[in-house]
Amino acid sequence: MQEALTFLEKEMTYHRSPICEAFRLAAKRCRTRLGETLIEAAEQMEKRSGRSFPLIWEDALGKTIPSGLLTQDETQLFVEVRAALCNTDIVMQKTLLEKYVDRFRMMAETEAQVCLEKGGMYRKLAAAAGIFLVILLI
Amino acid sequence: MGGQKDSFYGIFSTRLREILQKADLDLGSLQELRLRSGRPVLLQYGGHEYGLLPDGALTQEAARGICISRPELEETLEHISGYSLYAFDEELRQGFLTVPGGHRIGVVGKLVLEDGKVQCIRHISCMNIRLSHQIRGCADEVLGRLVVGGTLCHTLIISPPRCGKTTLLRDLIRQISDGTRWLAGMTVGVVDERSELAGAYLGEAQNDLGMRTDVLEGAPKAEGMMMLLRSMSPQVIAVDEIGSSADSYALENVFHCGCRLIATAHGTSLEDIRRKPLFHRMAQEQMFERYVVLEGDPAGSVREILDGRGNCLYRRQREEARTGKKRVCTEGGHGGGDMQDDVDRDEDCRDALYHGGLCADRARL
Repeated sequence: MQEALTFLEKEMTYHRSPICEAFRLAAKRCRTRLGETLIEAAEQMEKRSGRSFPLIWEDALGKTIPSGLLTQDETQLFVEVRAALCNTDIVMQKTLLEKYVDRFRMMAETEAQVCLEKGGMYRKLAAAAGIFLVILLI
Repeated sequence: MGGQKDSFYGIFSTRLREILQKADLDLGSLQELRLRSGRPVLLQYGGHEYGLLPDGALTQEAARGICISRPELEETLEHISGYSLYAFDEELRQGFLTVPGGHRIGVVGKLVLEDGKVQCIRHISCMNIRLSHQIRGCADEVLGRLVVGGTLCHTLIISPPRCGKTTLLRDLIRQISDGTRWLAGMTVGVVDERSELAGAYLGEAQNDLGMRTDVLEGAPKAEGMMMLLRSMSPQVIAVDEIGSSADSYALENVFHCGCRLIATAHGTSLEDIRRKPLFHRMAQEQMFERYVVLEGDPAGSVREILDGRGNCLYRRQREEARTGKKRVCTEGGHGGGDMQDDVDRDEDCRDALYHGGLCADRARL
């Protein structure tokens, strides 16, 4: 998401690509399920059904991201991104997208930290279990 | 045509789109559509103003027509910009944006300023959707008068808003580019600052500007003209709505580099134009060799064509035009014939002008 958002930000704020075009370009470079979300949203927008962008984005997320794949916090952040994506002012949009990229980066760092801590804990547990097993055998 | 209509109606909010589809308007006659928040929708159709009833019928009692709400206006704006209003920030700062087909949408609302410059428009409350019309052949009768001895004259098209100057310029570009009986095809460079001439959408031209035309889209006119001169070596440069002081330097460069220039400007007559600081010196020095003055009754009519000194080469007679005859030349004894005859007869006149004198008829005048 971090990469996709950074790419979207460049496409939208520097190249002034309309959102559908930016989504499709980002989707080409995105190898995760998010690519499907972007394509789904682009298709819905092109239909001009009269629905607002926030609705289209939420629907696309619901259709393409299976429940349980993301945590509640992540899902919430995904939904919030819509405010940045459809912002009408280019300066505000750039600022918001950068802010969301930072939030995703922080989230990823926290996740990595948790993984690291958990990894350390599991290693210690494994070592303890090993020692216990050796004592038992002796 | 159906596809063109669908594409055009696609920019409106769902309810308005349905009503417009019921109305089944002839887009060729639809000139503009005004949407104001909480006010009736107004259409300029066939030269008259109408309101729109819920069943799609047009009414001259505009107040009885359907009103548009703010959410509908916002929805329309979302469709117009493809949910990407940010992508049009440069255009919006100038108060308009262009949609597929080259239609121009003027917007007003609350301006946000920074250091006295427009940063953006918020709370857009009114929209004026002006339809771009490509009328092939509308320049047929004009082009012949802009060519002297096989050379295209530097030409300024003068017209008040909504009188067809962009439409005329578009057809002139197409004909000059493709070539006509008057001229062999020439390379034309077009500075299309507002994407109106080519009607380009996402880089793809929607209107036919001819096979030898290079379009520089979105560039400020002065900068665009210089870029074209440097990079595309055009024989003719065409530019719409000149008038700012920044254009002056670029125009002079075009005049003195062997290129021919066709431009348009807002005004009602040559006198009007001469009063503008930018054109005053140009008119005095006869930089423009032809002035084409348009009028809006009916829209797109050529009122007169003047040479660089302000001598009339052609003038339309209102009375006869109203009776249905197309256009009449009042030059000397040339009056009364149809335009084609005038064009043929004018060839002598033009040749005489080219060789430094006026034709016999003009001399009598």
